[in-house]
Amino acid sequence: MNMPMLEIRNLQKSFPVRNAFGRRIGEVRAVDDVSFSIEKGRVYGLAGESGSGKSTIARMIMGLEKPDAGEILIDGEVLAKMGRHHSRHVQMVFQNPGSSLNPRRTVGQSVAVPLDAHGFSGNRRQRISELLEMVQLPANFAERYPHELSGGQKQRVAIARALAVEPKLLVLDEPTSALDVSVQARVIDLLTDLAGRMDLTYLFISHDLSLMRNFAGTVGVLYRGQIVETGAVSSVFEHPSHDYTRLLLASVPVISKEEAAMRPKIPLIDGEIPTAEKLLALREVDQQASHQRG
Amino acid sequence: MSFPLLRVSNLSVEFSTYGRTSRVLHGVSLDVPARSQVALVGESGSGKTVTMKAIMGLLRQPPARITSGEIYYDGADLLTMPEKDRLRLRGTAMSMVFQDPMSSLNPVFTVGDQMGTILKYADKRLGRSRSRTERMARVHQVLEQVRMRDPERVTQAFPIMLSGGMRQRVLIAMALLSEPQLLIADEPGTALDVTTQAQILKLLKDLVEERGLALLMITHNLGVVRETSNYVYVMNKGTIVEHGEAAGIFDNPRDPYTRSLIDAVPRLTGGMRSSGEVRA
Repeated sequence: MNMPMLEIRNLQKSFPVRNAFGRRIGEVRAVDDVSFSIEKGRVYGLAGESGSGKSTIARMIMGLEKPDAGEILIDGEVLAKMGRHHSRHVQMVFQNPGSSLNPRRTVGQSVAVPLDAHGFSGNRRQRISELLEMVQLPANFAERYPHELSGGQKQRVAIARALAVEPKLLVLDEPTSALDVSVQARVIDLLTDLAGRMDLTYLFISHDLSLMRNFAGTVGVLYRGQIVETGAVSSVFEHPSHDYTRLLLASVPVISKEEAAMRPKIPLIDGEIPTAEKLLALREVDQQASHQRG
Repeated sequence: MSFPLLRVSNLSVEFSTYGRTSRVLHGVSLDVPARSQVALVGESGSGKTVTMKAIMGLLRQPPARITSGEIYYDGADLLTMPEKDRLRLRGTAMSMVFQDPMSSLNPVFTVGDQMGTILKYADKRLGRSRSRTERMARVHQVLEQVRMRDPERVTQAFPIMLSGGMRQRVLIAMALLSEPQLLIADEPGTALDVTTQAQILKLLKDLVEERGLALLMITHNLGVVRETSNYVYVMNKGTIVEHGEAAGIFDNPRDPYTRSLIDAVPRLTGGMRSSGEVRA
């Protein structure tokens, strides 16, 4: 059987909730028993709104946060035992290229940081221009500073930096949400192209379901730290089974009749689109009622 | 033919900074008839925000300079009327819903205080006056109009105590306080989660229809345009490249820029078209 590139087993993470004086008054379960795996060369989409736990999962995969329980395996190796060399295999592209690049470093210096960290011994200049070429930027961009670049160009630099150590897995945390739609399309094209050429596996985190539909192969829908629905993106989007997925899909602003027809119909409560809590609470009441009748 | 509620005619604006002058609007014209829902859509740098600011009189001059054009509200040219008359319209007959609910509310005053103050000054400009109790009654009334369940609690809350969606509702309520005829919304809901955004867009649409307002929606999101507006102006590099009924433009764009923009939008149905030919 094909070994998955990333496997996540029963991952849990809670954060303390403190009052104004710093006393613990409870805890919030940010990630609550999450399991999923990504096969080599595939794109797994993690969809969720703010507070769903998607960034906490990303941070744990990057080793920036320690799980309370559960395991993360990268290419069959347990993350907790990998130590420093973990970052050779996993790299991340952040949401806002404006703040993830150091403004005092040239593009070349930024891209070289991971090279130095992992003791790169070849020709640095040549490697930097290779990396820039890979993300379709001219080699002379190495001398520029982030403020001289457009948003799309900055994100390309961030991708080049992530690719510098030839990782196997890239965590893409909302990589295009700060970009204009035409720029987004080109960055997505680039990511698709790179995945093929460099044998990359992607964990794609986004709240943009239309983009997810077009970029990810498999999708997991996160709600309050739990994956409420998972499957091939086409089947989850065409036949959503969980109410939260249905609500998410119903909320997407779309531009064509076909898309509008595809969105699930959500019952209005008091003339308004219900919140997730309300919709799910209502369904629970319904289910209990039908349970009692049945 | 009747004159539209808002007409921008051949508006050109340039900015001068450090001795360099750049033209950012090149003869922009658009109409917002009474009771209509119109969208102005464009990517960053297209000039949509400058157009909005010129309409609301929020352009700082200098560095900006309006080099040509007129902006008519209800038949009167906003650009030539005395500042006093213009103040009377701004925030009263025409009002704005801003994008970022956190930075457009003052963190150290309660929602009720802020809304009361807005109403007080709007009244003052219009030469009216109400007692504090009357003002608070009106504040409660508009909070109910934006479907806030507990207006009493909301007026006593500080902005930080409200969720993003509730703050956006407060901003809409603020815009409605002085019963405007024209609502200009700048990317409402973009900072919110998709389910909350859907609620806000539906609320805006319902309010505009119920109260017979005209809506000018400024956005970069074509989906938001289709959900809220009937008529669209597409803007690129300081000019209107195409305008028409929303349905027509989405199904059959004529301008190459509009077409590339529409093609770049990922679809919920999948099958993203190649974006190779998208022009920025």
